[in-house]
Amino acid sequence: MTTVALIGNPNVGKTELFNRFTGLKQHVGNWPGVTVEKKVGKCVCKGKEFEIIDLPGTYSLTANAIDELIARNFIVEGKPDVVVDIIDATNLERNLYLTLLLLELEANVVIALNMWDIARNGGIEIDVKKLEELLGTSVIPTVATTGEGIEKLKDEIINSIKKERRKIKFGYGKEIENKIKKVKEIIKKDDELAKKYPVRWLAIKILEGDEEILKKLDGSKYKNEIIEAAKNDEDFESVLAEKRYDIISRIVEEVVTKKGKEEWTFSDMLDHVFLHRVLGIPIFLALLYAVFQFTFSFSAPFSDMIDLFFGWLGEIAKQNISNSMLASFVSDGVLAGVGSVLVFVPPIFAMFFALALLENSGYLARAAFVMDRLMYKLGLHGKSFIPMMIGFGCNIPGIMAARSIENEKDRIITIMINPLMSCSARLPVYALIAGVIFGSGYMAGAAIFSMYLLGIALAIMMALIFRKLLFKGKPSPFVLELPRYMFPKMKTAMLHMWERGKWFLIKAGTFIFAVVIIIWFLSNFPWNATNGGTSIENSYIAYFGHAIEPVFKPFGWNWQASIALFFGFLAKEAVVGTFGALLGSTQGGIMEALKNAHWFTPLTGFAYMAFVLIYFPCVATIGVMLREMKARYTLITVTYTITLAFIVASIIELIGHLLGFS
Amino acid sequence: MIDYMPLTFLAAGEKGQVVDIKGGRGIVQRLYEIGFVPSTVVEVLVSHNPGPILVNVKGARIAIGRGMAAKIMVRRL
Amino acid sequence: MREEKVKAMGIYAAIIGLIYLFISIMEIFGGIYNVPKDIFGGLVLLVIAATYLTGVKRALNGECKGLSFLIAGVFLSSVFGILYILILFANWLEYLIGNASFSFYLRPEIWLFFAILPLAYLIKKEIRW
Repeated sequence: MTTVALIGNPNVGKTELFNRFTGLKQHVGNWPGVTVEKKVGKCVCKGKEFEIIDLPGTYSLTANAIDELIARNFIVEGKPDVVVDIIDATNLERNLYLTLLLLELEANVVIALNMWDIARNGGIEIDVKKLEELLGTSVIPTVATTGEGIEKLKDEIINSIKKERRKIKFGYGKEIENKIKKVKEIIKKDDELAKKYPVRWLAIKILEGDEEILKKLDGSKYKNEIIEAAKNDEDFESVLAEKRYDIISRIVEEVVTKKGKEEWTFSDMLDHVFLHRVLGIPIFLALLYAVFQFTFSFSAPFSDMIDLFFGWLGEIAKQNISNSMLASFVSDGVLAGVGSVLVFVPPIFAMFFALALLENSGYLARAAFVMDRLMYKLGLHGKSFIPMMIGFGCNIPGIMAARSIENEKDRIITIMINPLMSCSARLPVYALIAGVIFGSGYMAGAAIFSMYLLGIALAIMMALIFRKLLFKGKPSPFVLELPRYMFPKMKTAMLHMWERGKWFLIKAGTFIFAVVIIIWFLSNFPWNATNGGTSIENSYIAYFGHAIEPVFKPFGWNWQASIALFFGFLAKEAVVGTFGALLGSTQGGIMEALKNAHWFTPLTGFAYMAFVLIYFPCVATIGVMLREMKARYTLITVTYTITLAFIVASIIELIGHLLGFS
Repeated sequence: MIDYMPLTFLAAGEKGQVVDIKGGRGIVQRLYEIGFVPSTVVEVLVSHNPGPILVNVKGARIAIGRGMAAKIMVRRL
Repeated sequence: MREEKVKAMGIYAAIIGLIYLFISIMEIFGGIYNVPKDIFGGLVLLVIAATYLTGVKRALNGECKGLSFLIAGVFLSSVFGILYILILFANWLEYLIGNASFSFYLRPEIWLFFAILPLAYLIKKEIRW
């Protein structure tokens, strides 16, 4: 099969192009050994099947950043048949830097000159023929958001496989070229090296002192000779970067004509306000409020529909299945348990959708900018902010988003505090318990909101502590490109929402389903002793529950609440699933049932919510953490969350008692 | 007379030409890649002290922390 | 861009901004006429009002920079207008499934959204991006 790699700077529309190629036929995984997202998709055109690999968005191909290294290694070692370099037509000067590096790597490059429409409307004219000639590759203007030029790009990909590419050498001036030549000669002596890597590229990298490449020399008997020849006291990397920009500015001069005077663009105008000294943060908070309103208020009727549907199914099952054990299994176990979790699909999808809109419109990067000052004071990095925001949706993508932070210390702190962000799986627990103890009014909403605030406050506190104890020093400098504002595309946002939200559905279908069955079994057996699940006190689960109850007794939580916490280790929404299975299917849904059971007082319920927020990152999150950072730090995270949960719940109950709540 | 200054000295709306970057190899390399090469003209778009500054470099908006910006030496235009 | 047009937009924004400010105060303190008490919602309106009003002075001077506040204001008005329309729809669904009563109450954010549409149109005609 033909492999096609997509590469480009961040914010050039690479994801849209990838979606254009593959539609829903894509698979998100990880690059081996690291948690950088690897997207692979399939695309059939002209009867040929392509495998499309989406490489991480990068500016360059050094070994300094993990994303860049992955992209580079894939091109050097994976040897894709075609590398499609997506460049922003409105900004050739910056984007061609990566192109030059790719050409130096002797990849089979096809250029997609994306955002062609914006360039055209903005009065930027690009001589495509000339650009092709200067670079020695085909250049296809495209508009990924509308699909313009995509067919032509596909044709060109097919052509380029057969076509022998015209190699163009970009000279770096006599002095440097001589050095390159000297190193090249020696490399050529080692057949194995010369066969494996493009020789000129290898020579340049060695001269630049690229550590990853120097390691590759290890097996070669010419190693010392090569290193001797490459010895120099200049900072080659910087000199070459400068030379490359020289070459680029010459190309741009020949190819681009700008019409009209430069005027304030739409993005300039919006930035003037959204990054405003005074208005910036209030506007951000207002938009955050909109996200939460959308998540909770808009999704409510859809949740109620699911709730009604499962209640109705449960009734039908009870009435129509004559075997009482089977009837109980279907309605009290499966339907009540899974139903109580599925109810939260609408708010979770709504939140991911809203976050996708913020991200795709370009606003989320501005939020990081606005918050940087604050984050810096807290010992965090401006970029830590985006993983935290995404963590509200789910901690897993949140933790993965932390990979954009280059500095390892900053990245680890960001990951370690991410479980304190109230992810959407915790929302079911908050919503249920707040509804039970405070009714459906303003207080319940305030209680839920206070959990989000509590999580943020604790995250800040822990970040400060980690910075003081584990990672001394200041956060590393902040560099972030702010993308152009775009009107978010419905389809892209939906796809985004689906990609992230489907985790939850899969979990409900597999994990939660299994947990629910186990709970049903444990709570209904021994069948005779429990009298068919009616006297739960005699069941297995009651044994377990009573066994761990003493730990939680001081908080005023009964054994049912305790055992729910135990299953919550697997996934936080399993707490609700456990309640559902323990209470069985009843008229009026789980909330009514829990209200009538009187398991929680306002105070113990509130403390329980806080405990669920803090006590343990779910199993899936721990899995991601283990891949993202050293096991030591994951262990610290698990320990501190458990400890903190007990401390915070105790403090809440203590203060509550002093204030006269019960 | 020294006629250059750190980028942080420019106010929003002012332009400067990059003269030199002070700092370790890592920082220099990073800034080069995103386009802060000598003789490039950059424009400060937003600068509120304290807080990061927003600069237009080769047509892209780059937000950089104040500390890092202080290492970029420019000549005011 | 003609200066008069910018000035006209400035006047429009001043009126809109003041209405937002007025309603924001009503929502924060609540209970005036049929405006509900909604502190957070009121604070949001205050932010929108501030965004419009910050741009007014500059727009009246015919400055382009003033226009950027109006654009951001239009953006925020739209976000909240559409949000509350969606929530209104959600409430109606809730009523259909028999969970709650429903009254067709248009929150001020919704009609203010319609009120800024002419301004949005004027801006769209003037700005190219």
